[in-house]
Amino acid sequence: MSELLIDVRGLRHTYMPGTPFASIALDGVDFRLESGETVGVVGSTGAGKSTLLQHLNGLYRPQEGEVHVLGRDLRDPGQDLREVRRSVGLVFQRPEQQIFSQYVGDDVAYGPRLLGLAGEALRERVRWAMDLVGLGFLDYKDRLTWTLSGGEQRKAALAGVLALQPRVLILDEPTAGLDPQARLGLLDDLRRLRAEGLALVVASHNMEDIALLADRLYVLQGGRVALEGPARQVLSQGERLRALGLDAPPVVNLLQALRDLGVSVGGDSLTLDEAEEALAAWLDGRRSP
Amino acid sequence: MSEFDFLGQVTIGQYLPGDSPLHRMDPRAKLLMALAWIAAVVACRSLLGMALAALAVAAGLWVARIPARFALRSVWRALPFLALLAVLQVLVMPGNRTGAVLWQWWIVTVTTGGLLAGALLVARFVVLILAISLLSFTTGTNDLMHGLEHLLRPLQRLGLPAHELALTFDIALRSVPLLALEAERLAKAQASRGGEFGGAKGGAIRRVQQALPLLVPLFLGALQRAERLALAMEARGYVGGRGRTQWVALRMRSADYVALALVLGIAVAVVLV
Repeated sequence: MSELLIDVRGLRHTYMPGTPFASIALDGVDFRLESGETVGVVGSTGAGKSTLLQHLNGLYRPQEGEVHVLGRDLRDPGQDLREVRRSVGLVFQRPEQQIFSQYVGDDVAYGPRLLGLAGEALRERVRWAMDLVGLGFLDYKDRLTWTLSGGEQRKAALAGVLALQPRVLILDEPTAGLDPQARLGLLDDLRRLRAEGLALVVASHNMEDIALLADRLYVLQGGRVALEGPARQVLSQGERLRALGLDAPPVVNLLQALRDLGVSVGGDSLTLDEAEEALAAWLDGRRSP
Repeated sequence: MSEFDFLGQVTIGQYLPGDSPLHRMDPRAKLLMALAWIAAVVACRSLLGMALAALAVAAGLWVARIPARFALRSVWRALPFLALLAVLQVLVMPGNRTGAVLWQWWIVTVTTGGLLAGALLVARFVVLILAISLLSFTTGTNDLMHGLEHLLRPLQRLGLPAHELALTFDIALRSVPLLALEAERLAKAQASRGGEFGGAKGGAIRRVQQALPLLVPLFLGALQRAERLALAMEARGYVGGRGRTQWVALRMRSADYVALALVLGIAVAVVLV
């Protein structure tokens, strides 16, 4: 049974309205997120990804259009947004800037403490969140936050959000600037969370990450949804994506190049593993005609 | 407007790129004009002079093609404080008890002289805010810094570090919007994790309570940024002002002299009428 968690209709947003600096960031966006699914939001820089994400957990209220999150209408000025912000966790574009306490343990504990947890329950919750992202509780809780490496800071920020036990996790460019090992580690974490039933929204312009994670995709361009659909279907449209300032994942382009050379490799592979299988199948087909 | 939009509330020091005659003027001339203007408006004692000053500033905004609504935003924010000051002027300043007595109760005396002083005070601040905004709207911080440095240069013989002063001023001015952005980011980070921020309710005390947790991280962040900035400048060979040449050569043109003379003339008139 899937449940509609987030429903956005005709959302518009202008920055610094009424000044000479006014700029339209969102120009009529429709967006839906159902329970258990992972939705990717892609688009070139300035397409409106971050602005859209900040509407999904109530950091911005809709200027025009509708935003419903977990059945709450965010247009209603009396709506208590704290509940929305706790159930929809947002990991910022540069999560290391999201950390504001001196010690890692304190930073992860910030959210649960405000939820009213204390003593042993608080300790357990922090331990749980830190273990989930692979930061050992005893090793890391007393470390100074600004001495962590880039990858560790991401994990700490992710733990700080997960400690709220949100129903939806939103990530803005989660892997930007990480080294390959840290990136794969983080993607593993996210896939594990998805398997545990958390609904994810991932904004990125790294098409490989999107190919590895997303079930469904929204492609933003100039504040509008230019393309949407199942990830496989959207990511196979290389031409269209390039016209929107993006590209298909390298694997898709590679297989297309092979096809152009007359290699009749089939399928709609998005990842290296899938491509390997497809190529193996093609080789088998050639050996035994 | 969003409850996190700190930047939108900062109009001081904001530059509106444009190509008006005022934008193209030499920054030194503009700084001197602003200085003369401030002196004149502060020294002005008559409503007529103040009206003249207001008219001249309005003309300046028009020449610079600054939308009136945008210019008035900063005035609008200061208005509550101005109103309070004006009321104090009218009601309790004994120095203003001149002219006919209109109303008297206990220690409170309203006189025509007091009303005049109150009106002048409000007008003075409005004109001052608009004049300073006009300078910052039409002059980028780079130009402003070069102009300031040139104007201070004669004082170098007296041991005044002109370049360093101008640089400090420039960095301070640039940091204001950065601090606003940083505060916005911190507020969002805390709100995203269940911190109390914004929301429907909130009186003045509540707002201060909400702002307090931002202060320490904001301060630390500013220190870290200062360190990075110093490092970046040194990495690019910065060793202070001595022997430094200018990229932008400032040249006063005849139009600059004419405008300066015009403003000085009006300034004298504002003080004398």
